[in-house]
Amino acid sequence: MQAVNVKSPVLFEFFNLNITSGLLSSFVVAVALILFLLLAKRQFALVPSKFQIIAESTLLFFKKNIDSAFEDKQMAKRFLPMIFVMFWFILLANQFTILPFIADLTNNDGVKFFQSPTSDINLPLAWALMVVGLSHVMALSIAPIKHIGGFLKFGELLKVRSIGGLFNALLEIFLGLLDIIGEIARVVSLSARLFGNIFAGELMIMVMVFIVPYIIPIPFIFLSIFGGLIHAFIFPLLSLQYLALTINNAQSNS
Amino acid sequence: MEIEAAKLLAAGLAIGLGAIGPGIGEGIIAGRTLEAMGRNPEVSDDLFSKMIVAMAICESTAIYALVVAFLILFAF
Repeated sequence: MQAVNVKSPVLFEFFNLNITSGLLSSFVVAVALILFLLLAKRQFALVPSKFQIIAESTLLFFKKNIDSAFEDKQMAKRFLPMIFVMFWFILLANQFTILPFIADLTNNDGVKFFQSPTSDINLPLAWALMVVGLSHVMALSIAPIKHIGGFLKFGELLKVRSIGGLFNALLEIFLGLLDIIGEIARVVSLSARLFGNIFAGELMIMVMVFIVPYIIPIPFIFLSIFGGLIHAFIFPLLSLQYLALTINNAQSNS
Repeated sequence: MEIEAAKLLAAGLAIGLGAIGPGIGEGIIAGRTLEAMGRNPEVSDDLFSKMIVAMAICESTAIYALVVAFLILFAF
């Protein structure tokens, strides 16, 4: 059975930068995505082509969700391109290795050139960090005092009038500190969910191919493709909810 | 106990125990959605997409257990 790598292998070095197979594949996915969307854009017409139908219907789906999530319509319009591209990137990245023969290309040392970029923890982790970081940067730029005050609720101590009030204030401070842990948990849950699903799907196919090489792995391949499709929807929708929650909260009273 | 044996046991326990909760949760989600679909068939398309999203979120605890099992097996 093939060795399983949680860490994607280093192919070569480029100015002291390790180019791993996951990184190389994500570059290929990015180029493919740009070509696909340019192709969809070139043929815009009143009678839509196939590419245009696919691009427009996914855009409308996310537009509907974004408009209902954000209270501020200007803000919703600003986030639409990011969420839309996030969906397409993750969709293509999840399905990358079902292209025939692409998973079998190896260099002289037997290291694979390509793997699903999302089956390396670094890509989902980078996306999740970016989403949660962006939500806090936006909230800080809208209402800095209010946003920090939402986590460090020491102002509650000033309102204390009795012993029971003191207890409540301490509880509030404790809950605020718990929210900070909650923000870190968001990063972990977003990234681990995507990584775990894609990695588990690939590993399951690998095990099934090892046990019975023919016919039997096919349902598992379908399951993996289906899971990849679902999680391409889940990741942008959840990051949208996180962004909207933090930003709406900052905007509400300012 | 050998350290290898302990690793194998730990990975098996991690995913085995971690899969119990999400299994029950997904069953509840699917059952309630089917109930609602049976009561009001017009909204079944809308409900189906929401059910898939809810299931994927519910599944994530199982996925964490799986990631932990993989980390025990392959990373350490």
